[in-house]
This record gives sequence, structure tokens and C-alpha cells, in this order.
Amino acid sequence: MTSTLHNLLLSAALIAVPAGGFALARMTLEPAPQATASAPPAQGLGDLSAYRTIVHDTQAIVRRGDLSAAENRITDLETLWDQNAGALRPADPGAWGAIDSAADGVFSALRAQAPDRARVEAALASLAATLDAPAQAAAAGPVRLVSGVAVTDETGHALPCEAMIGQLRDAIGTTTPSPQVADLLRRALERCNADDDTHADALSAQAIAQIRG
Amino acid sequence: MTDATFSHTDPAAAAVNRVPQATPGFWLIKLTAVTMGETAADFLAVNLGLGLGATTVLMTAVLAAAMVWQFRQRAYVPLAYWTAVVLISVVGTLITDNMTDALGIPLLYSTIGFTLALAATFALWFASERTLSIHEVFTFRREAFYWLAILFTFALGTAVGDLISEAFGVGFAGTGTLFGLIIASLALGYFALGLDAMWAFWLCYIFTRPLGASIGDFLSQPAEFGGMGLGTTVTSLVFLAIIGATVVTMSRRA
Repeated sequence: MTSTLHNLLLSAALIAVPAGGFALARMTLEPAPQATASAPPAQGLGDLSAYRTIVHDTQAIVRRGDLSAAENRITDLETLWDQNAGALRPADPGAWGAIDSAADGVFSALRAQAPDRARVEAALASLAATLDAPAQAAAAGPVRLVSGVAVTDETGHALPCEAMIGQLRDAIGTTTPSPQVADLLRRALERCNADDDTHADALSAQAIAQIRG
Repeated sequence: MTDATFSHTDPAAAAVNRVPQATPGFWLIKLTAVTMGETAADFLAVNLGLGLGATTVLMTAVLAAAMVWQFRQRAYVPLAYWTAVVLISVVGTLITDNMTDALGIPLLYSTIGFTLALAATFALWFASERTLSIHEVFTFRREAFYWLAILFTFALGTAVGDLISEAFGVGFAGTGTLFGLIIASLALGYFALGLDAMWAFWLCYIFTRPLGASIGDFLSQPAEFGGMGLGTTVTSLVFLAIIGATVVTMSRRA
């Protein structure tokens, strides 16, 4: 029994040391959420002007008609957004989620096989509006909507991506999906396979919204 | 292989171990096999649209057939053994996915539940056999305990991996790093600090499940999500080639 106890304690220590080190390293490498929360203007997510600048740049590039340059510019936003996700998300998960899914709408619009300019502009406008008022976008209720389609249950948990893809397949039915819808479905499947319910659900929701027109 | 042929009549051959030793090749193939298994389950449930329920029923039936095949072997036969591991990995993952997505059980509860189930399996195994050694799996009963423990390690590994990636929100690269560090730490404990071989083996068995999933995601996911963009097909083929090469090497040696 002493040997069992010894092994149990040793195992616990061997797991706790790297896990603790990992958590500590993350806390040191990433700015603490409190610092962001207290930054002016005192919205939960702090100063979002860097993101707004990129969105405005991208809108200008889209107006010139260069969608591949626009994709390059919006990737800057994605990089910055992902870098700061660790600090921003805990500061206001609802507002963060609202911006994140609006941004996903832009990424998927620009990265479609044949990007559709009208869809890109609509997605950018929606992202700009969400960045201006992320709290309102999130305050719509615990059930989060992407393009008007519910992607979470009443508790705010992402729906299982398999269920969302099922909904999308039902919506497609026996019709031949448009290239955009097919692309969204493909990307939703890819995210779903990576157990990334949030992104998969957002993509399925956009596809369902497109079918419904 | 000749040992297996004589095992029914020759009492000495009854003491042939039916499961492999934990060599570097064992861990390599275990890591790749579990990832293949998960990709296959995803493909059936999501891409083919069978859904979680139908996939679980189907894969459980296939697993049952594979287990019959494995139990009929009276020695370690790499192909039968690893087929069983891949399928048990699929079903273990599906059990956790069903509990989370279909039954809405929080990952923390499933993690605690599977830890208790695994501990109970080991307690019964030890009470019945007075050993937990993977070097002395000679009988049907010991092999049954061995596979039950493996099923729970996969379910537990899936729950722990998903729990960590949700709690930390670090994506597969961060999750992979964390579990890589834990496994390295357990290896250090085994080689330098006197951690018991059985403890080290079963703990590494649990943690290689989320590590394998992270490596698979890293290879297959597109660059925009921080992966290498090989796609699931190429990744699966790469893994299949590694498994094939390792099983062939093991079969020659066995």
C-alpha cells in the first residue's frame, strides 16, 4: 500500500509540474485580462481601434475591387485577434464571441472559392458594426445567432456541430447547393472534424442563411 | 507464430504473453493508430452524415468482431492486436462524444467518472489476479481486464484532452505541447525517479490519446487555423504508412 501511495503522489507531482509550468508560462506570456478590462474606453474588451482600422482598410480595398489584397489585409486582423484571444475572451466572453463569429463571416466570405463582393461587403459591414458595439451584439441573449441562425443552446453552449451540419443538409435537401454553400459545408465539416464546434456552427449557420436567402 | 499453433496442447506455451511490450515502436504505432481511429470516426459521423448514434452502433459491432478475432489469438499477433486498438480507440472516443454531445454531461464529470471506472478496473484486476503486469497477460480473464482498462483510458484521454483545450482555449498546438510535456515528465519519473513501470505505462497510455489527436490536427488543419494544411486524407495516408511499416517490422520480429 505504501508503494501505491508513493506512486500515486509521484505521478500527481509528475503531472502537476509540467501542467503548472504550462499554465504559469501562459499567464506570463499573455497580458493579464484585468489590464485590458480597465483600459479606456471601458468596454469589457478595451480598446478595439486596431481592429477597426484593419476593417476600414479592408473595406477600402474591397471598394477598389481587389479581393485577394483584401484577404491579405483581413488576415492581419485574424492574426492579431488570435494572438489576443487569451486575454480578450475571459474579459467578456459574450462580446468576444459576437466579434469572433462576425469576423469568421468575413474570413469565409473572402476565402470562398469565388469570393462574392456583395457578400464580402455585407460581412465587413456586420463586423464593423459588431466592433463598434460588441456588448449590444452579445446582449441579444444567451442564445447566440450567426446570420440569424441559432448556434448555441439556451445556456450559451455551442450546439454539437454534427447537429448543425444535419440542419444544413436538411436545408440543402435534394437540391444542388451553390458553390458558396458547398464551400461553407466543406469548411464546416473540416472544423467539425477538428472538434471546433464554435467555428463549424458559424459556417453551417452562414450556409443555412444563404439557402434561406 | 509457431507458439500460437501449439498453445492449445502444450501447457508451457500457455504462458505466452498475448499483448506487446512497451517499446518505442509500440508507442509510435499507438500514437498514430489512435489518431487514425478518430479521423475514421469523424469521417463516418460527419462527412458521410451517419450521425453520432449510428456511427457508435456500427463501430461497436465492428469492434466486437475485432475483439473476437483478437481473443482467438493465443499469442501477440500484431495485425489482430492493433486492429483491436484502433477500433477500441474509436469506440472510446465515441463514448465520450455521446456523453458530451447527446447526453449533455459536462466534460469535468466524464473525466472524474472515467477516472473512477479505470481505478475500479485496476482494483478488480489486481484483486482477481494479484498483478497488473502487461508482461503476464496469459489468460482470457487477464486479457479481458487489459482491454477494459484500455477502453477506459481512451474515453478518459478524450475527456481530459477536450477539457483542457476548452478550459485553456489554447488550440491543438498548445494542447499538444502540454500533453507532450506531461508524457516527458512521466518518462523522466520512470527512468530517473523510480516511478513504477505499470503506473508510467498506463498514465502514458491515457495522455498519448490527446497528444495523438493534437498531432493529427496539427498536420491536417489548414494554415489559417495554425496547422500544416495537409488535409485529413493525406494525414491519414501518412499515418497508415507509419502503422503499416511498424506492424510489418513487428510481425517479422514476433
